[in-house]
Amino acid sequence: MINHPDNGNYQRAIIIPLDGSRTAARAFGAAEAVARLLEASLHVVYVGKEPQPEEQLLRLLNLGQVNTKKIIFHQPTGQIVNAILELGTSLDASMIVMSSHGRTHDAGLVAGSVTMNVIQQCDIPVMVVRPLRQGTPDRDWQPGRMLIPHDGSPVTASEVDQVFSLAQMMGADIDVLHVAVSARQPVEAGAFTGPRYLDRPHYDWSGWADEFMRRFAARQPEANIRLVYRTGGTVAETLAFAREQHEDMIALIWRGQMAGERAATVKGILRQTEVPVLLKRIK
Amino acid sequence: MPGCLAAFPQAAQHLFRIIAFDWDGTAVSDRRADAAPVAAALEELLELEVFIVIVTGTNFGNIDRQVCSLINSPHKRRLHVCTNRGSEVYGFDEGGSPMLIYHKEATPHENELLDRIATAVRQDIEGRSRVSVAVVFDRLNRRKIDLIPEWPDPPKSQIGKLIKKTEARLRDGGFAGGIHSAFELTAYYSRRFGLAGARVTSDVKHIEVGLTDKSDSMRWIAGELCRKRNIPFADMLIGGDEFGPVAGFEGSDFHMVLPELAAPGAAGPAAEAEDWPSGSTYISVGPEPNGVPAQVRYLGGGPACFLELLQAQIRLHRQLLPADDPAAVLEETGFNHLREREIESLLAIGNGYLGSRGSLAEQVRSSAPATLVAGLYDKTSEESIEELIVAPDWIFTRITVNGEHLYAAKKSLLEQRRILDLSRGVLFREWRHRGHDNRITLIRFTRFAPLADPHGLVERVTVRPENYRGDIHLKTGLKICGGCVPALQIIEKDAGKNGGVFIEARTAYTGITLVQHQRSAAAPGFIEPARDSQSDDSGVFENWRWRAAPGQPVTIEKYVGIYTSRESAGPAQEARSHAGRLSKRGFTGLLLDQAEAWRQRRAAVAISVDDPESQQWLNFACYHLISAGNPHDERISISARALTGSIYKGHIFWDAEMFILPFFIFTHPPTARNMLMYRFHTLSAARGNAIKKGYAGALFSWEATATGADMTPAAVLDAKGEVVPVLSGKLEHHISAAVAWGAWLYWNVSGDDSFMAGAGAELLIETARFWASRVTARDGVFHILGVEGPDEYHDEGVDDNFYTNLTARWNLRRAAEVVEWLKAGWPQEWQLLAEKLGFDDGEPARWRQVAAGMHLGPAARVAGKRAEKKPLPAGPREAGLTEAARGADAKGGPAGAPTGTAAGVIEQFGGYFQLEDIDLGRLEPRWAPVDVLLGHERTVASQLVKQADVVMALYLLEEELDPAAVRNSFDYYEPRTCHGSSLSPAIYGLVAARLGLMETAWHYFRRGARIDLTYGNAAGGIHVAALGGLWQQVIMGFAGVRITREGIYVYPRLPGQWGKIEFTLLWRNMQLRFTVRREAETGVEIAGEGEAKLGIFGGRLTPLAAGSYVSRWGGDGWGDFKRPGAEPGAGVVALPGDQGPAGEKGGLFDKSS
Repeated sequence: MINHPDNGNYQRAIIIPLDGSRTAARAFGAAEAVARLLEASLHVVYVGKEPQPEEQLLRLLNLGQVNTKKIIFHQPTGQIVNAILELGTSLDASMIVMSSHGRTHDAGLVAGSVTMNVIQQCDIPVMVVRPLRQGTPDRDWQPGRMLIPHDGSPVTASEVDQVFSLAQMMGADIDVLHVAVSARQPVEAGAFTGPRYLDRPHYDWSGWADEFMRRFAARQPEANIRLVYRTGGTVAETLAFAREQHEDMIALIWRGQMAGERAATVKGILRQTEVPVLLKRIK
Repeated sequence: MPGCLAAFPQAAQHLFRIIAFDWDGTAVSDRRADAAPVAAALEELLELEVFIVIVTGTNFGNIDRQVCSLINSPHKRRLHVCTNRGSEVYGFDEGGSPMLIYHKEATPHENELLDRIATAVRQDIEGRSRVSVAVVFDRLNRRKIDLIPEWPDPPKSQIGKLIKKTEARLRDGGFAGGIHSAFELTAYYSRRFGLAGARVTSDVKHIEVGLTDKSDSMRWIAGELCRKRNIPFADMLIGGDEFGPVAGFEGSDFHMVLPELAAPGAAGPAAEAEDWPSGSTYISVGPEPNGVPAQVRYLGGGPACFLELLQAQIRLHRQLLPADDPAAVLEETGFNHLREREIESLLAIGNGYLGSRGSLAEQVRSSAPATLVAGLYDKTSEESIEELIVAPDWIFTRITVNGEHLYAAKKSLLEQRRILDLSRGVLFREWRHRGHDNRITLIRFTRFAPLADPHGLVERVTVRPENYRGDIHLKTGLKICGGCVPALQIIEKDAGKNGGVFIEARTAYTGITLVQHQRSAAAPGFIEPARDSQSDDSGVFENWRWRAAPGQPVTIEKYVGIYTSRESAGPAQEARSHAGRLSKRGFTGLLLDQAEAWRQRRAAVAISVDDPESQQWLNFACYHLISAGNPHDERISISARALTGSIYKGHIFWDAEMFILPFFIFTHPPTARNMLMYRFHTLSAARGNAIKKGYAGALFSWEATATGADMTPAAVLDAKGEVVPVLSGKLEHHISAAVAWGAWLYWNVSGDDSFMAGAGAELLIETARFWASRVTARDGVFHILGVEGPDEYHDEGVDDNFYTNLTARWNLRRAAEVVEWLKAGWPQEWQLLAEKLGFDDGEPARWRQVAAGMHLGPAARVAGKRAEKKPLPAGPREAGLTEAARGADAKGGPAGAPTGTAAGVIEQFGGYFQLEDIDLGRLEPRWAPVDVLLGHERTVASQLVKQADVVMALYLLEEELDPAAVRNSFDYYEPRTCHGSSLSPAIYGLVAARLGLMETAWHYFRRGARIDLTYGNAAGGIHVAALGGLWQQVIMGFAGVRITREGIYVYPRLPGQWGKIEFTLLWRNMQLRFTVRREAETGVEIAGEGEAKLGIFGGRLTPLAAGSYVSRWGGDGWGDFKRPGAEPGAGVVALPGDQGPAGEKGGLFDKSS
């Protein structure tokens, strides 16, 4: 039976793909923590040439001491990315947690090829953990704050509810950061960016914030949520704000296209982030 | 044909939804007549959703050839033709092709009987006389006995002649009984041969016997159109030309008179109005030589009269629909929940006393409905500031079909159009919803706040299932705003008594009682919805339930009376009786009243340009201004977002006098007077403000409510979430001069001396006293220290803000003049006022002394990197002030007080030129406020300006400034102004137009016009002050209107995008209607008693009595106003800038955009 919320025995699922490298295993703590916070089962997926006995697999994956009773191992064969995506679909997974890099760790790249392909093709939220950052989450990780940059566009708004929902399930407060890009004039119907006129700033700012939240967070989660307005470059302001406010993760809603000049914000944040980045692709 | 309408005025008052009529003689004179005019009218009525039914004795082919073929509308399916005397009905399909939808075919036996009867009649007549008659056998279900075959096709108009000739023919031939006997003979043979129910009729030429007649047509209409479409008989007009007896028997159209149609009470549960019969209306336009039956109204006039009635109905239907002119409406299609609150503001309705956002009645989650009442303020604690509260939501209506709630959502929305008629203040919504089981429902809402009846609110909802039969439940009522803060305390709710539902509530701290009383009613029809009412924690409601079939609309009308204890000692009774009065008047009557009220108000504005886009912008501006104006209450003024949103808490700022008031001064003086009387009534609070700060006179609160007390918050959270002080309430003292300026302008324009002899003088004197105490003397020069000018970027207290000092000086001088005027002309009033105010006779001299010594700027000192690159323009003189302005107080003040600037540029405040001169162009294009981009500290330390400050002074007090200083200062400040306030673009555009910088003026006009119409700026309410500024830009800028005590000047300069502009101004009880053709002529039509002194700015004033005058463009300026046709005078007045666009310098923006 397909694991689906409509079924009576539905169980949330978190997936972590591992390739046996230490860099990939650095995301395991975050995966355990997310599974705990979401009350989900944790699914480890390893794509090898042939299935390994569990004891051997544990050694291969560099996981150290883990409670295997709480983990479900999957060892499909074939194309790695497809195997991960198919498992995500079959489990109706709530999230995939993975390291930005795996075995062929090239720090010059935004992310390794598997991660890049997964985040571009996956409709499930993907949490990307930078393996070499200090303090990658461990199994006891309890994110207190999630930062969500929001550009005021309707497409971003279309996915924000799911991200809010995840923040709420993880018990994180939410900071919505709107970085007004100086030269950008909204063109989409319903787009909303910084206030053009501030006749009475003491009312206009609160009015703007109220409108922004009503527009883009109509289903406000049961979490503390605040809206912050900044100007400047989105990447720099987001990272600076995350540092200043001790954000535990950054959530990005994006279009899922990395090629060429696209997704400059996602690339920039992934390169420099010190905290896990939750990516939600717009369907 | 005025007599025709005069005999039947209901044609212009009652909406007929079915018009059924005889063809020949009623709609056309005969079958050869040109039917094009009537076909055009019918086509228009079909488009207006009127069912048209032609009821005729002839066959379909004749009617189709003459009229149906001329109608090509896609709405032709509402056209029906009942032919062959009740035996057939034709309709039309979607493509306009005819379809036989009803047909009665005689049996062979019936046909045989008909043949026998006709033959027997012929044989009988011919047997007993020499008369020969003919029988027409080839007719469906009937036979015709032709009594006068030699006259083949007599026109209806010759009925008298036809009777005479036919009777003579029969008598002369020995058939003494004439037509009547032939008729009786036919009836006799019908009975004798056993044709039950035979219908015998006559059009004089023929005696006809058949199985059907026009009564069968009418029965078909009653069943298939009236009952099946729930159209009451009262909404059916039936026209004919032969109702009365002819030649001793009933006219052929009398068969259309059915007892069940004509009888009162036949139409449904309730009549629309007491004086209107509930049965169908019959009218005759024929000659009717023997009069008409009692059921029929005789009009006469023939087809011309009938056409006039159709056209009256067209006009009436059109009046109840959105305007045709795209510039006269604002339309929103579809549904985008993200934009919903913005749309609600744009589509708000109001009448000055109340405003209601244009929210969807079913209240979707993205909606922020609000009904706001002027003066209905409350607060959340003793210490907090007052704000407008949200009254129970009267627009709430929820429709449920077979248990499914209908609400706007993308997945279920087939179509949605919301149209605000800017010319009549009516909001229309048409919504097609697809629900479960593919059920499609069409719902129409029409909503308005009567302009002439401010305590009322009216809505009509029509629900029509398109493709299903179902149980419909409509719940409508007064919904309490659950999350609103401050919340109203509900005192009493009633659902059931007093013919409606009501809520009585009270504000917690201000102690105002609010009562809303709703009455709803189902419009007459065959479906009689069941009503009940309910009351619960969320409000009071009326429930209407009915079962409907496809195509059956049911209409519920809703009337709300609303009163507060501010206007009435018994608001509950007032609200109840008011709802009753509205209900009695009825929806159509109220909507017609609304159209007329708006027509009158718009006639006093009458601003039009020959560019549709600009016209729509101006219509939008004038609509919201008129909606905001409150001529009913002089204890409240207009808030910066009017009654369209709560973002500014309903507070009243300087916007009221500087930006909104002029519109009313020139177009609706009672509203203008009320706005100023509000300031008069709040003088005690203003005096208290002054005393609290250690000054004399009156300092008006920067933000005020009904009491006038200062409501500016002391501190707020800024964009970064940090607590910052709000300094405007402490420092923006220029509001007192704004009030004085408003009073002065009103007096000058209206000539309302009684106002100035009382409240106006007190306002001017008390504000002058404030300024006289507000100055600090240093070496004989008077300074105003520590203020904030209109430019709120420099908000931490500046010294000698030029705008503040100049308007204060103006205030002091005008007050001194008014005292002299009062003493001379109104001695008794002056004595009373002087006693009331404890006036010291030395005060005017002191005011003049302060005015003369007022510091108006040191020599320009230019600092900053940018200034090195772009030196200040070299001015022709040392000071920015005119000689007259400098010398005005020579007697009263010290000589040599510094005035104006060097280099011809006015310094905004002391030390301004020493601030960093940031190149604003480097930040462009931008979509964020400059002070946010740069940060507050850097902005304060720069020459960047938020909004018109010096430039505001260039507009208001141009006559006190040297023209070169005006131009130089505009050129200096324009590239340094960020327009961070919506109040800014229009003033820059205005001054640019006066300077002849037409591309710049146009740029700012476009920008100002779209403030609310783009990018969600209006979500918290529309910027009514910016809209007032837009109107001022057109009148004071493009038309170049200037006001003096003596008269009114114009100097039109139109942008290249406009060839012509028309507008109306009220000037001292006279109406001035201007028509300006760009660089050609300016005409003015003056109406009213007396003379208006009018001139071209820069020239002289000429006293002009009522009549037409024209000023002609002389190539580089305007000539004097003269009678049309008079020789043009030699004098042409030219202002700088009329050399054309070459005078325009490069500015900050791409002006061509």
